[in-house]
Amino acid sequence: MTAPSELPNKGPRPPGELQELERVWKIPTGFRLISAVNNQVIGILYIGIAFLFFLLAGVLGLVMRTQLALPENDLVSQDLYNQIFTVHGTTMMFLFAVPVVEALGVMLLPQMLAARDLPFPRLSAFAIWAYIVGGLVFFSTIFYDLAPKGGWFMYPPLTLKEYSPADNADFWLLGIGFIEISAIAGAIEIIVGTLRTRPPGMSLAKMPVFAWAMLIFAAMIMIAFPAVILATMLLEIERSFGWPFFSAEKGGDPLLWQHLFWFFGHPEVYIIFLPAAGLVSMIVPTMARHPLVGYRLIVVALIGTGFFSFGLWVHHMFTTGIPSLSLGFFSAASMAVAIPSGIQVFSWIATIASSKERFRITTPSLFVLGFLFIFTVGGVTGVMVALVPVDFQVHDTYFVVAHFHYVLIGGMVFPLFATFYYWIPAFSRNMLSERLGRWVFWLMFIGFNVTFFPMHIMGLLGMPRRVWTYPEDLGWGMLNMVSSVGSYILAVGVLLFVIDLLLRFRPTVENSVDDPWGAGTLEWLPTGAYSTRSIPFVQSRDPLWDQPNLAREVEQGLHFLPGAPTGGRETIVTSAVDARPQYIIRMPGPGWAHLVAAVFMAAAFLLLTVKMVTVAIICAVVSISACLVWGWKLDHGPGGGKVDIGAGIRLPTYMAGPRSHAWWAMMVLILVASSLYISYVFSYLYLWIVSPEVWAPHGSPALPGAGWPVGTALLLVAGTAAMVLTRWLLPEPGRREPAVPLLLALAAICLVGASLAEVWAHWSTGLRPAQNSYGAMVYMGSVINLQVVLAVAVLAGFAIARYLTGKLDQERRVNFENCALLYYYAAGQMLFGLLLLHGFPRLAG
Amino acid sequence: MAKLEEMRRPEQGTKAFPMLLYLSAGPLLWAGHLTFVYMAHTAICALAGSPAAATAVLLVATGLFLLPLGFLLFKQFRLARLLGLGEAIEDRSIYDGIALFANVLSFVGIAWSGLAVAMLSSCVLGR
Repeated sequence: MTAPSELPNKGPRPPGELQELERVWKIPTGFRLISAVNNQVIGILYIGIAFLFFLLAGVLGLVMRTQLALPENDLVSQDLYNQIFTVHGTTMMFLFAVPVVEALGVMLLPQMLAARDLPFPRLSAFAIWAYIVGGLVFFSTIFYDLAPKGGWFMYPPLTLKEYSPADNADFWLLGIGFIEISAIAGAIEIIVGTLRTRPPGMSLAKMPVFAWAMLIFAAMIMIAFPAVILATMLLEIERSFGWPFFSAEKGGDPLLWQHLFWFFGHPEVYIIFLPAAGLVSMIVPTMARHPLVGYRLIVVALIGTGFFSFGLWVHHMFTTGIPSLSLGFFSAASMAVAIPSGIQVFSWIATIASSKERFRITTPSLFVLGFLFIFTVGGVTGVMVALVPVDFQVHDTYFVVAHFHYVLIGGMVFPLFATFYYWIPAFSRNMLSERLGRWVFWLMFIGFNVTFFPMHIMGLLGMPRRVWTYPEDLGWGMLNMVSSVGSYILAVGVLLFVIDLLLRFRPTVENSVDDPWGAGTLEWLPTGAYSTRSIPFVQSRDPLWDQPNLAREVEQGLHFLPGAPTGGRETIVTSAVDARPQYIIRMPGPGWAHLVAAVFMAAAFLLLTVKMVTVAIICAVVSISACLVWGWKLDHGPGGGKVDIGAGIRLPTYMAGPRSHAWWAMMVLILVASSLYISYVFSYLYLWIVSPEVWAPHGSPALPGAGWPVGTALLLVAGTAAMVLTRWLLPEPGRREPAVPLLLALAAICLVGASLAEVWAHWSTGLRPAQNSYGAMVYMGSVINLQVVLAVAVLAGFAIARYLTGKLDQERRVNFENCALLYYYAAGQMLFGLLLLHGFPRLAG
Repeated sequence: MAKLEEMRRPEQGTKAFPMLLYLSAGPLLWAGHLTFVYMAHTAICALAGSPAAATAVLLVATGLFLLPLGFLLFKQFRLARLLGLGEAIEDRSIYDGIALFANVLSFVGIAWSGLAVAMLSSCVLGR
């Protein structure tokens, strides 16, 4: 318990302080609500839309089960069935599972960390609106016979132009690629938010497990998603321009898609599961009224799962013909991931067993117990399919369908429903009904098992997945009928939940139900639109249990930052490990620019799908312009001086350099870019291994002379030197240094020139991208470089404009630093690319 | 327990990168092992077509990755000192525990996957 003398601020607080806080954080009303960026508002919207996609994809699931209930049924045509299972899987994985956990992060993390908001509220809002527009358009393709048909993993060669000539596959490739970008934007927000906006005193070791899970979840997105973004780029480019990445006759390989897809796809399962496990780790201690047993082990399990999940992708490819030593190696790795998952399960059981009184059986507890049962069954069948001989037998059968539904619905949907019942009181005037909740649970639990357990047997009997119908004499009819009946029971459970939601969920940020479960973590503090009245000084992992007066003290404004000293939205940025206050971040309020940027960005991607290139480019320009308008107002500069947050601590209201949240966000973005590039390098080497005969200098035109790469490298070095010099020459505030914009422009020109020189060097040898896989990979390197180069050019132009308007100097330099960091990375990536594309063929040839 | 006084000295806090490295040193070695084994095995089988060479190289690599991990298990605090993580860090024992268990898990992961390398000696396609 905090002694009064140790409280950061004294009461009573000055009159008007709370009113100022309320004014600053006021949520817009009426139609302006869509311009809101408060995490509670966009969090509810985000979760609501993700849940809508769950319902829509669920309806598609019911249609499939109805079709399969009887043998030789013709309720839907084969072609429509193909579209339905593709959209069902794609929607569940890309439009529901990942977004909903990201939404929970946006919704719960600021409250759990007692931050006033996440550090980039408009970035969150941008990501959400982009997802909503892109997702709804993608889903609607099922109504126009435009939906993709290649299954949720869209394997080539089926999805190449020859076998899927219409635009259906393009909707998947561009739509999902775009939504992945939105997910990455959310991940950047979560990483920086979790590491830098925790309340003072909440060291990493005191961080709630959910925050750990979200941190690892976001880090996994950074590594995994770029692989599938690259894959979608390659396939779309092959479909549109004929660059043969996946066409075997020109040195490509369809298996490259599988490698890239599953390097994303397997971690994706854990990307979905880890946050759900984090939620369970929050609910179980509350219901057991006992701190989580084995906190350290749970953190280890999260870290271990995060790493191990990247070593398993090949187990999706056991039947594709890979060396048997690889089979053994990846089989062993696949079994090893059961250890960290098992640690978590035993930890939860131990917490339940340690309960001082009886473990409370509430609706959230029931869903947690249901999760434990179903997920464990799914885990056991997971170990089975990790065994190569078993996988050979059940690959692409209903056994696998049963397995992954046990893992995904058990591991994610049941915890999600537990979450709804547990956390809705924090954001609603009413709790959901306990009585109805138990009906919902039992209907879902029974319905789920009746639906999916028989599928194990169907699979063992040889029923392949994705079949539209089956002959009666195969004997699968009864099991399919049982499964279909189960699916309707499951659907009734979900429907009851929706009814309960409509009857009782009344969103509010101020008049929510007070901590009905007696939980110990900060999201149960009294809140308003500004989050908590003051930001608590945290001294334990379960502060509401260990600091009994905390809620009252926080509400009286006796902790940190009880007002809005800068007159705008702000929160405290703390150090990443110990959570010591470092500075005040000033955050933007409601606005339209991010909304315009999101809508037009989505439009640009979707118009590309139907080959309306000119309009798409116009939309992209509008979107980028809106981003620049949005970014222009973000850098307030150091003019606000220092402000008092309590305990005699005066913090600056501006920060540049490695302590700044902008610097951290840029570093995270660079990690994403490097992950994309590493995937490219893998693809290059992979295709070389597969088809060395098309590689230069023997199978393709000879490489450009050594003068080309050397000259390009010199351009890159010169540009980098100009950038370094610019940093040195940035003037004192109020002074001018004419060389600054010139050097920035010179640096940008060097970078653009280097990328063009690289393209021309290969073009002049006669090499063409559609010639063979070597040519395609060479020019693809330039495409990837060009993305970063364009971003740097825009940032350099932006920095020049900031300088010319007196908003860039030695102190106010965040815009320059962002540009410089990305520049150094781009130059490094391109130098490495020169070594790879000019050096490797010479070495290997 | 964190003291209010400590909140006034942000410059004396623990650096983020060394701490993240300390916590994830074992898993990073595991990742290095996986990357090396996958790449080396593919390359040796594709270029040299020699199962014996593949097995030998990978067994040696597994041993080489286990060595530093074994060192970390017994001399974990030396790494902490090397990374500039002092004894006085708040909750130090929790970080030590996380690092230790992560190292144990990674050791098991490398040794277990390495067993497959020792038991199978083949570049033949798996089906």
